[in-house]
Amino acid sequence: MKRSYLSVLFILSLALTQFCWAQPGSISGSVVDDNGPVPYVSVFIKSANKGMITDEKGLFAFHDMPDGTYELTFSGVGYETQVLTIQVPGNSLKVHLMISQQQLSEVTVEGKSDTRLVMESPIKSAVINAQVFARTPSTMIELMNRSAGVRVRQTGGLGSNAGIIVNGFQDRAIRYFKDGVPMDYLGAGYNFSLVPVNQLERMEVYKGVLPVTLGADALGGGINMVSRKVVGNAIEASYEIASFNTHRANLNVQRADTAHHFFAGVEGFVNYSDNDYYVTPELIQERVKLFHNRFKHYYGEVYGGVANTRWADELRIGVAGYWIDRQNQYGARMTQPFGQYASKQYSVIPTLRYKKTLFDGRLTLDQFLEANTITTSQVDTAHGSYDWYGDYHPSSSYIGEASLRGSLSEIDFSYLTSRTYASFELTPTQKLEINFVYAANKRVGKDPLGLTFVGSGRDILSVPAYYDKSVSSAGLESRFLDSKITNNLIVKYFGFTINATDGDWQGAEQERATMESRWGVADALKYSISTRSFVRASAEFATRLPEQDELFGDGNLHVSNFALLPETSFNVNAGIYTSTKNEKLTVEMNAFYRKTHDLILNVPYNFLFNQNQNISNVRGIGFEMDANYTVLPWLKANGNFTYQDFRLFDTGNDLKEDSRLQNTPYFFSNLGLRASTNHFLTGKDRIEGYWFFSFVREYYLSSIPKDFEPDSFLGLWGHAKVDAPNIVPDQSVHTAGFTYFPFDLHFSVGMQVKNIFDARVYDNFRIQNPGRSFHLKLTYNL
Amino acid sequence: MNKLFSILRYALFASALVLASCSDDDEGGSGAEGETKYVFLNAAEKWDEGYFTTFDDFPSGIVPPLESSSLQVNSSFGFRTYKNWIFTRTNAAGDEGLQKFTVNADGTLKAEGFIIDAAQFLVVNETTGFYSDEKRGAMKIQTFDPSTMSRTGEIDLSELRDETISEYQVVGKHTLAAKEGKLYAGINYTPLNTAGYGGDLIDHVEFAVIDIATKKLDKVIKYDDGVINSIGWGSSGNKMWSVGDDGALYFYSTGLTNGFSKSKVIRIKAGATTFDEAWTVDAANIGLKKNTSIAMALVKKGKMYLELASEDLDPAFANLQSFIFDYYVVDLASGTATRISGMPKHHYAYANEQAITEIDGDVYFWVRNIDEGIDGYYKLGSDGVSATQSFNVDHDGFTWGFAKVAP
Repeated sequence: MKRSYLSVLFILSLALTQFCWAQPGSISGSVVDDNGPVPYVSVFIKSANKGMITDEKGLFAFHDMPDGTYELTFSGVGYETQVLTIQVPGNSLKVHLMISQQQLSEVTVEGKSDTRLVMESPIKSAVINAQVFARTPSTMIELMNRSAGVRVRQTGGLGSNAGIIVNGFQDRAIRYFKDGVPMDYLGAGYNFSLVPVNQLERMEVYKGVLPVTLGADALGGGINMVSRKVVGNAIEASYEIASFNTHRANLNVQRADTAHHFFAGVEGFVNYSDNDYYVTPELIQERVKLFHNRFKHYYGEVYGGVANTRWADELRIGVAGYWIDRQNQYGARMTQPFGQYASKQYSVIPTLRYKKTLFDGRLTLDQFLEANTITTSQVDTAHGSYDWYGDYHPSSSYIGEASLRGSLSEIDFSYLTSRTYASFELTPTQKLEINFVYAANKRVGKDPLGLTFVGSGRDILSVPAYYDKSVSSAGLESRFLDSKITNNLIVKYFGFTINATDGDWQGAEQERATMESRWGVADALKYSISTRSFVRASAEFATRLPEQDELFGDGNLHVSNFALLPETSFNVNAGIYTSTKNEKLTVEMNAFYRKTHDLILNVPYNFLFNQNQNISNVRGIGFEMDANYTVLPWLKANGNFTYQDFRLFDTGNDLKEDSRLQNTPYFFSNLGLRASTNHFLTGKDRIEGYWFFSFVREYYLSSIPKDFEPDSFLGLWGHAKVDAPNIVPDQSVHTAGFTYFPFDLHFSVGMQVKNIFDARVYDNFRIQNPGRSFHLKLTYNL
Repeated sequence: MNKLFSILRYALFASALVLASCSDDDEGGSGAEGETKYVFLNAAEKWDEGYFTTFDDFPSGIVPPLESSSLQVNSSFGFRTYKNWIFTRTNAAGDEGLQKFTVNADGTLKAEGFIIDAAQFLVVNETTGFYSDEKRGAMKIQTFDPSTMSRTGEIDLSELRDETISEYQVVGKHTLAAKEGKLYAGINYTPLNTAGYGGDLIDHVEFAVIDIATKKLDKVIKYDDGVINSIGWGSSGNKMWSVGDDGALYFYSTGLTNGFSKSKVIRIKAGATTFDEAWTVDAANIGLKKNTSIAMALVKKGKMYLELASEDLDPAFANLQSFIFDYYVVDLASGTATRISGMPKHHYAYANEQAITEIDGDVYFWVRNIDEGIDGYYKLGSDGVSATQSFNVDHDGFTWGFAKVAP
């Protein structure tokens, strides 16, 4: 496996290197630091929308530049961003970069980059700078878990389902975006648990209010995955090998011809793991090795387009595709093992993106369009069952392992997604934004072993179901007092229509159609106390519309509920950021409040059935703090903790009233130490080392009456005052590693040991995650 | 400011490290067995998480919904007992299977064995038990030793498979009962769609009779009145059969799958191994003669105690949780049904195996009517037609059973 991946990467790298060449130009120079030339520094001219990376000797050059004044931005990993204003014609430049005090910080502090701008926005978000960790064998999940207020829960190893909890919101309350576009159309093929860190510029985790650019009916926040901006010509390849026969590879190649205004590129990544780690299932209390848990995933995109023409700043056409082959070792809980149950998913996704700035940059247009079909298939025909030792037990009655009747389903989910964004600078201090997202979805499929409607006998999956959703947003950004105060006011309108065939209580066909709409409003305010400190606050009346399956059920025992109301929530965030001079110490504190009504839960209904109903109301407060401290010039520390006290209210049930939101962590913290030095073994090398510690406080899978919670301060230690075995216990995980650059920043070797002490790590509903694992990652940039 | 930052920094390190070093305390009681206890099970919401709580003495007055000795279970829908053992159809985490608990001397419960995938079950004595496990075979009955909670074998009834009747046939799914050395296992024929829960394709009741000593099939018996064709409900904690003090085995046909128009009690008399075709209690002929569901009854001294609805039950189950049920006593000799007074109307007993139960010679009825703040047990008075409250559980949840456990 390892050999085949390396071979592919090597051949692709050789072949695609042929497309790279240097361009002559009229802005040129070199970039150096205290030790000499600095390769791999981004040089970007915003007004011309041109950029490139310095070469091995730290040189750069732009050609065909008209005479005039330009602002050049120099940024590189480990360096302070520097902005220079130059004249053309002019002399060759020599740019001296300063090593950043925050070079290894997760939350980037690099000048006024896009990342920094998002972080300092009035709208609270955790900004995870993926590029800082691009050379380490880290996953986006690990980076997110090290951020205050964010927990990711994964149901197993690489490729297993992952969900995020933000300020107590989880599952469908959180919406996901790729470069600002809701990413439902990408299915399971592209998400934060699979995308290599190298592929992303950053991850924006919005904790409450979503900016206008992100159009979705999120109840409690959103995740925006921002793809890495590659400027000029570039090649990057990485390969990771790890425990459990895990292989991850990544390749990015881009060619840009600024003279002829076109660009083209290819990006892709591969995830493979046997995921055959040891677990101790509760029902047998023995340590066994998982045996049917392999995961294969391929993702690739070919793209091309034109840039900086009269009619388009960027017109990008891409065709992405992915393929997933997954063995399912267990279901929603780690109770019953499966030995043959498998599923696949694939799609080919053509996309189009058009961007244009008009009227001297005052009007910005951004249009995204895609249409694709995701095909999923399930094969569950073992005619028997497996035990945790991998032994097969034939059954004369059960066709499947996950269900009696088994499955041979094939379902097509067709998507049409359009996102239109425009912003207009009304005045130098006011900007108007509008965003419209329309998503149409159709589901149709078949399952020869599946359920049929009573009477017609039709396969339930063969009857198409349609679900259309639109989200319109408008926002006004205003700055006052010389931009010391910034305010964002946002209004949103959500609507959906649905048409499908439902089964009545006896299973006979019933045509159903429904539509619903709601308004939402949000405001975010920021006040800059000084250049190093600011406070901000935001509030939102948020709405999440019911999804198709929540309204319609499955036509069988999961019955429909057309009286289902949208979930609504009032969310407030307030926080302060401050830093000492030179940012030796930075501290951010944030408090949040939510009051959520009509949470949708799947509950027992009448005698036989279950049904989605508006059951729970949740309210509470939370507090988080994040600090970074430069102990020594080469040693930095960071830490954060989050406490959230979210409780049920208006339950009409004294056993539930004021109890904590179940299956949700309420205290977690992180500590980290990072060190780096140049000239470690030779005159050209560099090494970066790190250690991270993560702690999650014990939490309950089922509600505990408040009077029976631990007596300790905020419940931070001790146990419930009742025998409550349904808990996820305290968890402490240590991770350490280093990244070594033997020659320069072009090539690096990253090594990491995760879960050093092989602690039992549990997650959603006590599904056990991998124990100790070893990782090696090689990265090459050109 | 710098001092504040320093304090915060060190507090952050210290708190996380201290929390990380906290260790679990040892838990569990003495494990002593042999004491008489009273135990009840409740749920915060119907079939949601709940608590087993035990008492040294018969509870009275207002009873708290849980105490520090209570055990939380993730899925609460009834339980059965055998002497001082408690059996549930899921473990404390909610995983499906057969879980056995014992009661410690301090009132705490101790999990003592779990059989994965076991569904319907029967404990005959300390060492003999039966359960269904459709993964091992729909036409097989598994045997186990309740003392060790280990599977000991299976009884293969594949010879009874009749594919000409239905795509799906199962034995022991809804009913496993025993009387006088014989095991009675219900046989159901349904479409694969319903997997035994509705759509029965025969017009009579059919049981396999198995000799418990030899584990061999004796015969198949039928009850054919042209009205009922199913007995029990396999997913319920309520077994939906009982043995009366007259030695007869009574089976309850709930009417759940026929719009509640055909709910009956039938029986196999003491000494017999076939149905008593001449005897039945038909819900259509007693009480207010509504479409109702008989899910349990208690037979004692010539009387049958059961619950009946005061209005027709909705075929789509919409009013099962309405407060429309009363308890009745039926004189088995005359067939006269009398409503037992003193209790407010309650909702359907669902999975409460002990909705009508006998403890220490007295008959008790479970009543839940949250409109009147009642969820507890009533004791039948000496007049036999009225009852008074014994205890009320102070909660807004559901009580799913109350029993005495003793060696």
